[in-house]
Amino acid sequence: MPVNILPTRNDRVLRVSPGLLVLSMAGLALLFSVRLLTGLVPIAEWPDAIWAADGGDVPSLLFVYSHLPRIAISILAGAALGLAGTLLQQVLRNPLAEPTTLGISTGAQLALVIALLWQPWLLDHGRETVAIAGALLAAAAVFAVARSGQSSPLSLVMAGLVVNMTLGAISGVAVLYNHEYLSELFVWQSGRLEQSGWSQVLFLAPRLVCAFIVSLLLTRPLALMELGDEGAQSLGLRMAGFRPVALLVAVALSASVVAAVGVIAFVGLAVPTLVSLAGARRLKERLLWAPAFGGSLLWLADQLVQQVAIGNTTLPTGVATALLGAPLLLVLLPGLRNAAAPPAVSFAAARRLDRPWLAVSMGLAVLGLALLGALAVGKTMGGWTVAGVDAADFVARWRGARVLAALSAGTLLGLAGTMIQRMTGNALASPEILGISSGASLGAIALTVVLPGFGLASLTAATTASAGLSLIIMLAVSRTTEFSPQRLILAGVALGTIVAALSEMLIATGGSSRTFLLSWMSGSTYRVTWDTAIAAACIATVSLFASPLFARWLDVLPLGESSARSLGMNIGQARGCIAVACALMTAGATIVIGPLSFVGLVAPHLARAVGISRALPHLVAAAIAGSTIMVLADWLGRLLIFPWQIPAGLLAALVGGPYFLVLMWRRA
Amino acid sequence: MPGDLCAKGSPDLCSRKDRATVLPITRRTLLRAASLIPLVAGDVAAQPNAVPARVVALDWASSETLLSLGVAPIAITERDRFLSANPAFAARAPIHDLGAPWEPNLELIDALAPSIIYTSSYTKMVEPQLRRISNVVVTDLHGGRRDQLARCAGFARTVVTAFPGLADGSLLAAMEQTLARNRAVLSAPRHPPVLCVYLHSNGRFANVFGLNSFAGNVVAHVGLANAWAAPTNSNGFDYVGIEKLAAIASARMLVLGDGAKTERALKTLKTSALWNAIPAVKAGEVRLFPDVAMYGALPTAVRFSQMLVDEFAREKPDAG
Repeated sequence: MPVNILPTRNDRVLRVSPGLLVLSMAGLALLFSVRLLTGLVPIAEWPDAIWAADGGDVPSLLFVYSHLPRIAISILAGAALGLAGTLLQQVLRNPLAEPTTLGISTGAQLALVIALLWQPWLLDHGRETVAIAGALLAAAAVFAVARSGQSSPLSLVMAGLVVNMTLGAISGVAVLYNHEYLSELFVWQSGRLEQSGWSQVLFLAPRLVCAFIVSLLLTRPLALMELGDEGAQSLGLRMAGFRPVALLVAVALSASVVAAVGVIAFVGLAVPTLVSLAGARRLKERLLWAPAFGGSLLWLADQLVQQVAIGNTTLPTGVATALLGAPLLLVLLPGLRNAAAPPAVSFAAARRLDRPWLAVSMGLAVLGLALLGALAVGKTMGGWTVAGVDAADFVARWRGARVLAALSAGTLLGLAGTMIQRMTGNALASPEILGISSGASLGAIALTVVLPGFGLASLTAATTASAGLSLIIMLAVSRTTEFSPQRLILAGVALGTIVAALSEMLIATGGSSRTFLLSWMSGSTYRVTWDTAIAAACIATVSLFASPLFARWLDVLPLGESSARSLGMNIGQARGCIAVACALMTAGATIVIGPLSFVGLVAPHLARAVGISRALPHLVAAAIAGSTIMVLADWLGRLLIFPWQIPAGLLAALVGGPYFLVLMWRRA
Repeated sequence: MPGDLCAKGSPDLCSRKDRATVLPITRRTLLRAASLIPLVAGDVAAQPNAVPARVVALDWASSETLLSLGVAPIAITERDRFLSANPAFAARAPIHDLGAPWEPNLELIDALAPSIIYTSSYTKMVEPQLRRISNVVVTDLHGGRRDQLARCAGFARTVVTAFPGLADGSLLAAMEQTLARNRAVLSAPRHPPVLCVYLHSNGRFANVFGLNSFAGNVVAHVGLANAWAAPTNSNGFDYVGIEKLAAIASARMLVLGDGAKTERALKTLKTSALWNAIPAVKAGEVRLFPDVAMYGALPTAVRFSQMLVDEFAREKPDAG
């Protein structure tokens, strides 16, 4: 059953017409542009500059080959994203669908990265083909996992998030071992609109026009989709053909934008929503207004970005749209109706074990073996080594802290993941999605800017503080809905996008902080000292012993709100307490292992797949599964490409992401 | 392996008991360890008074300084890429790779039982761990101030002092001589200012090297003016759109890195009106230079300064 969470025709949320919206944006953008351009060439000389550019002086060259194409590409890219977003949202009946949330942009990006690193000649001729192939593969994965039309908007966005994170991990590994391309790739990923000629404009313009014409031709069948498949069929329309065509157009157009300028987040999400909030309800209106509004919005954003110099350069436009768009998503949340539709993936255990504690003890035995291996077996100059008891000092010095930290982080993420999944009744929720990991990263990012030569203590303080702050913000935006899981997840997606954009910009800027950020964000245990490890272990132990306090809530909440209420439970209070506990645990884990890993997602799932259904054994089993995964990831990360190392979080994500996608696909 | 070396009578190699207890289990390990012995022994034979040094270098600047002075580290980071960037050192190539420069393998460093570890502030976060393995020398050659060549030379001198028998003082003297000879041979009014860039392969962006960069220090040393005077990041470089280069009048552009990446970029740029309108491009003042390490040391400085002098001294100075 498709869900319409947009306001209905009658309540116009914004008191401006779409035309006024476009005009005001474009007008402002024009003002800024004229100001910038007159600084370069006085207005009276513009015609001369344009007609005689090739023989002209430097300012007129910049005028014609840098500034004008930049304005043009910003309008074109914005229009293309607006159009693609509108098409995706219409076809998928999902107001959260857009190139970034569906993994399309990331897919295109990763395909281009892979081509650049291994087959650069592909980019000379088939740049667009490469991007579209990547985008299609990623989109196919998302749709396959979320079963596109049938599932709830949130399942699609969450599948997109997992695909995005997995692809991000793959591209992280690719970059880690080709770091001469590092700044190049990150510059590109942050979505910069600098132009040095008209080639990108000439590339994008015809594609936008074609896509626009095709979507106008498809307007009637697409509009009928609002009636649902049965309704459309009763009018004699076969939906099967139109849907893929419209999807293909949207995916190809988004991929072209990535090929031309990189990833520009949130325009495809915000524009269609704002246009319909401004009163453009009918599809035909939206198809006309969304490109117009998207174009003027990105034009304005790009002009604003150019007003503020950061050193020699400016904020990348893609980062700016993410920074502006993510809060917009939070502001729009109250306007979205009926957002509490239950996600499609069921929470029930596949089978039920009679003796869950037996399974738990077997899990413990596996964990013990993993620990033994991680501590004792390693590699050195010539091959494998097994450390005996007499090597305790060596093991304690190099492996002990890392293993303890991995163990604790895995425990914390397993516990937090179980709590979030049971609280939201959604098997796809995880601490990563809650946005706490992202919040913690934000603190580390800020620290590298403010205080480049920081130590462990300030890092811990910064991550904990910002994790707490992001928790407060998230609780504030979702408080009015009794911490509805959907609200929390959307807020998490928004925060995650900001963090990704900011860290990409910082890494591209270079400087000494970037290697730290890269290795921390990829989940390396390399820098962990005994202090950190013991701190994480304390938090993990306390959490483990406190978890029985939550068991009743966690047993009841998955039954649904009404059952919980009828059992006399204060849902808001319960969810608030659980959210705070999850935030603390996630912050503790993030300091050690960074924001990336699917352990919080996979561990509770593994525990349930074994057949554990009651809350308390589920919590314990997930903690064991999580710590086993992390310990194994840390160990294998040290062995696989010795003497190089693969960060534990990255390795866990590389295995966990695809594993989880397959599970989602099978169970959907 | 350390056990074998102890048996050979090198007490400094097994000063820490615990190392001997990480037992290699394959035959290959033992064979490799055995193959190491003549190498150490050879050094001892050649320099009868020298204490065999087990040097480990975690940054490329230390690695190239050590190797250029005849002190071969037993292990460096990113060994394969270092050797392909510096083929001259292949003959005395370090045996072990320590992995990524940002995460050198600590277990391996410890097992190698170095007598000294050279590193930069790059590995600041693990400095305490490194200090527990052995003596650590943290070099400070780059960033901030504009005396980077003096710092590089000073560091090279400390290496010669630290390895009296091993390091070849005459090599250092030769390098310092070349550098001194090249000091201010070129001069700003006679020779055009230079713009050192590194092109991104998509042809839209470039890294530019400012006054505080390592390359910028060498440019200033030979007496040339740096055309990029705008502020840069703390390491002296910045990435900018190609269009920013158009604003720089009458400079010679040195495109660093003559590999496939640069070729691709130049191929793309050939048709770009803006690129062709950059004063340096228009005047045919673009030169392709071999790659210059972004964080180089004395050998790179000597090489780059000589390249610059050769480039400019060949031609007749501009009139005026």
